[in-house]
Amino acid sequence: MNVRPLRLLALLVLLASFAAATAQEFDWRRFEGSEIRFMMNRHPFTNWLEPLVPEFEALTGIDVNLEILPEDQFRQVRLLEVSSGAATLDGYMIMPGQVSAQYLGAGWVRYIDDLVADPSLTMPDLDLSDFFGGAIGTFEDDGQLFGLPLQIESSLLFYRADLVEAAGLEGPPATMEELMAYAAALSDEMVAGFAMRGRGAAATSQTVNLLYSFGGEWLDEEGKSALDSPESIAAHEFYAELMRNYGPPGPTNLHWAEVTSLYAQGQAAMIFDANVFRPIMEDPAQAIDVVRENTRYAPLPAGPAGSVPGVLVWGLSVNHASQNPEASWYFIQWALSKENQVRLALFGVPAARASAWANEEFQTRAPADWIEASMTSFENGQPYWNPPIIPVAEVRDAYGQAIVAALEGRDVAQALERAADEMDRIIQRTR
Amino acid sequence: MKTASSWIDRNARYLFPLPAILAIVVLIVAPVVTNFVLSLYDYFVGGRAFFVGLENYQRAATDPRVWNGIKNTFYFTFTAVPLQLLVGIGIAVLFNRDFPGKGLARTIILLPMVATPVAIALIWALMFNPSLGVMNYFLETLGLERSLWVAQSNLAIPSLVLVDTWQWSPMIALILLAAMQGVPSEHYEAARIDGASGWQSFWHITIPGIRSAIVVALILRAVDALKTFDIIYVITEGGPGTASETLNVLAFKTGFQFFHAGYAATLLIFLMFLVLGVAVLLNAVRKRT
Repeated sequence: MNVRPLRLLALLVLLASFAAATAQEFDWRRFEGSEIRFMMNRHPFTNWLEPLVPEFEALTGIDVNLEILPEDQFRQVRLLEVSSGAATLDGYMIMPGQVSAQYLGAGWVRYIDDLVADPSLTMPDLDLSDFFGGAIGTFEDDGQLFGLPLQIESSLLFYRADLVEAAGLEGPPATMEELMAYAAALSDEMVAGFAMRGRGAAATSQTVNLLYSFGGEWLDEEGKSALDSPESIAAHEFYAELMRNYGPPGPTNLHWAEVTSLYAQGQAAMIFDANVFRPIMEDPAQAIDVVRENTRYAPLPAGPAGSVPGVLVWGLSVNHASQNPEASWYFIQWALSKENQVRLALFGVPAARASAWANEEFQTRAPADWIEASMTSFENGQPYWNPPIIPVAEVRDAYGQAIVAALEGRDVAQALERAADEMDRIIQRTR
Repeated sequence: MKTASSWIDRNARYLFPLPAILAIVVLIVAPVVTNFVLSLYDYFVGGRAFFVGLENYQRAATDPRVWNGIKNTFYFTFTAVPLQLLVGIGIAVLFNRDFPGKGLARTIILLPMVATPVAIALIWALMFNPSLGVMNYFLETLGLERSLWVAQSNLAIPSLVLVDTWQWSPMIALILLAAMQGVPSEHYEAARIDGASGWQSFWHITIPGIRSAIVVALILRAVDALKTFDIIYVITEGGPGTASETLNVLAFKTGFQFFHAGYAATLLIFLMFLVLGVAVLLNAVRKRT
């Protein structure tokens, strides 16, 4: 008779510890039956991810709806949904370098530290230290995390080794002066010596690399526009001279698609654009033979302030209003797991995990000079390739007007002064 | 029951149009009113909205970019629409006579009008590419110099006019063709007996006979052209710089890229009055003829 309660107690203790043990354990099927909706940019990452979603659904029993939109519309719709607090949106792709000033300022981000800290919600081998410092750094807000990076990218010089050799030159241009000299030597009637973007606002993500490398900045110490600084004027005069003399006709029309297809079709000897466009140059459907066989990669040539490219980081975040933050976090962890980052890298997208770059198969699949040039750029990179203010698009538009003016042969200093004034007005006007 | 049905009988003239009126209120009146209210605010999407009265209107009236947008809107519309009228009359005259394969030819000529505008614009953007596009190949085949097309500031709008004309001339042709078929054939027979030339009967019989149809086609096209968005945005995004930025494109950028919803609403009110003004003017012309 006396034994019974004791036995019961023992049983309870046993049960409790068992329950505690199961609660501690990470279980992929814990949110079986949930449904989540992620808003995605039509980006190579999304192209890679889309066909793999059924794998995640089979693993977890969570239903995933990807809503994929082209980048401009993607940004608009995401802003509307996130700012309106739509609970039906569970997560989204985000580029903090572009919108973090706005999203953090408005309190729209869902910090994930509580999820990361809970071993029952986070897979054992998440390993945050595996992400490149520069990549995860853009998701840190005063020590708190609001997402994880999926890719890190930077712009590289793509150049044709055969043409460089034929012109009696050696290797890639290492400095801006050399870049000008190479472009001059490589341009003839059929082939533009050099091409990069020139289409107003769209060009600013590339010209900013020149701005930084010539020692320029977006803002001065007082928070005013520094687009009309002597360094910035020198950078844009260099850009205008390079493009007007050795670029393709109609440079104000060049977006990345025009730049990469010019090069892929053998119409440009060197281009400067995002390293993620490498697959285009290896695709027989898009690039002619001579381009596929002779393309080499190098980091941005050094200007007076060195080689300082901007790095772009895309990642995934949980929506602050999501009703399913745990299931969404599952999806993010899975999509950015070590294994999947290797697959992403093998797909041709620069993964945000160092382990993916160290993968042996990846190292044999991607050209060594592309890997080396990319990693050099990640090390030297500046995470803010956009002005660190809220009305980013409007400022890029104003700066873009100066780029068009420079390419059309108008006075560069004057155009930049006007852009700087406009930028100051925009900053002041946005409240 | 009886009282209810007699109530319906008595009020049928209010009740029957009610669904239509509701639809108009919900779909047209409410958005216009909301837009007007929004235009009185300084509202950066994602931030707070501040009531500023007519400040947005003051700013728009002195904003050189707005005036550039209005200038481009008129330049585009009043180049494109007359050109389309000429081409449209030409096509209509051609199709007003019999020739083998007419039905097939008529279907083909209508295709630009029914195709998706964004798809059309993407193809034209490729064709305009100065280095890789097919348009320069055509010019060279004809022994002409290569052009920069939309990549050159002063050619951007004329190039867009070309696309718009290609796309919309068939619609004018369709309207005019219907009108031409309504002109009694006796008039042409009488003119022939009197010894009138083909040109004379076109000028003195066809044109007067289809005059009101011409005005209708002009109103429809002008109102539509003032609001043109898709081909401009897809092909040039208003560029180079702001060389082809119409008021509509500027309002779109202001609202959906720069996120100044209040100011964008103000610009759209400007556009609404612009369209209204042109429509009223053309309608007055129609009534006078």
